[in-house]
Amino acid sequence: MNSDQINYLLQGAYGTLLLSVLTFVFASILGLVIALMRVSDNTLVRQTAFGYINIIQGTPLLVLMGVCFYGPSILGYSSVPALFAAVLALTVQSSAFLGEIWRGCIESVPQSQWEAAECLGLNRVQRMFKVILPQALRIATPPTVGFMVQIVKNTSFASLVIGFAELSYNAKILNNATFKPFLYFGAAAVLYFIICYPLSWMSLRLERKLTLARN
Amino acid sequence: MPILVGAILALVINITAYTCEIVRAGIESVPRSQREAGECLGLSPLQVYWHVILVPALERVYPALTSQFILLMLVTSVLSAVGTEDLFGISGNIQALTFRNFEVFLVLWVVYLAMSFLVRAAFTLAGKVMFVRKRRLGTLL
Repeated sequence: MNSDQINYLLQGAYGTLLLSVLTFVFASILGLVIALMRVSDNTLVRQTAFGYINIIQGTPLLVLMGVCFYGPSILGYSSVPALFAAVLALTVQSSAFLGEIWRGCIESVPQSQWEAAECLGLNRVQRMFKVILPQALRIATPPTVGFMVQIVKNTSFASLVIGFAELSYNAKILNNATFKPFLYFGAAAVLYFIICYPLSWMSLRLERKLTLARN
Repeated sequence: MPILVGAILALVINITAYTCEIVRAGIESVPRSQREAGECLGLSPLQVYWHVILVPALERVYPALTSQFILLMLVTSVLSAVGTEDLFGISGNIQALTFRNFEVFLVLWVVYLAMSFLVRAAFTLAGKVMFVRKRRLGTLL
């Protein structure tokens, strides 16, 4: 492997990181909305969020990628940028999963806290944002960090339909040129590991800390 | 190595790592006292392991296992990357012939959704047949 090839792989790693960060930012925003909809008092809002989660979780990411990539051209926007389509598909998918994770976290805040907030005369928005969400955030941190690993790994789907140049795509290109699959896919695996391992380690540590704090 | 063997091998390796963590969590959730109670009732170690630990543990984590298997079913679409002739792989051929990418993806979406609902229904039904205790009492463990 010469320095050009290493550079090319690192460029791919940069693409993967960019995709992961953008996805995480947008998916958090959408996921929070979904989670709040899931715990809403309004049945219609709750059912809408439930339907959204069910539909997205029953769809393979590759199909979502295809719909997000070719869909806009039906609406008249010809050739959307690959990055846009990839981030859109990953955001839609991750938001459904994050919404479901965070709903669990919101619901695991003890009932007495909800009642206490009501007794203090807080309205619904204040109760959610000043009492419930800060506590849910502590519970939600370990699974969220764990899910970030999943997002990083899911970015490798972006090259299959859309052709966004991320790590696994660049490894494939190098393999096509040199016929050394083990070297380049091995190097890509190492780079993925370098990105993901700190996240899983952090998730495990946060989880332990939380269990200690609870007991 | 035939493509199918390689594809199945990759999926098995991947799914094993997830399911074994799920089942481990189930086994660890069985309280120690249950095990001791089983021993006190004079069950043999094998009987204790089967009736007291493994079956209740599987019953507890069954919903999580179901979700994992649905994810597995959806992830088979990735195998078209190595050239298996699954739903997604075949749809690629149709796209190449017709250039109607979006329409093909819409049809794929509906088919995969229907499949995931069917798999979920099948697993729920299988769970009702497998877990006798739950069927008879209808209570959560």
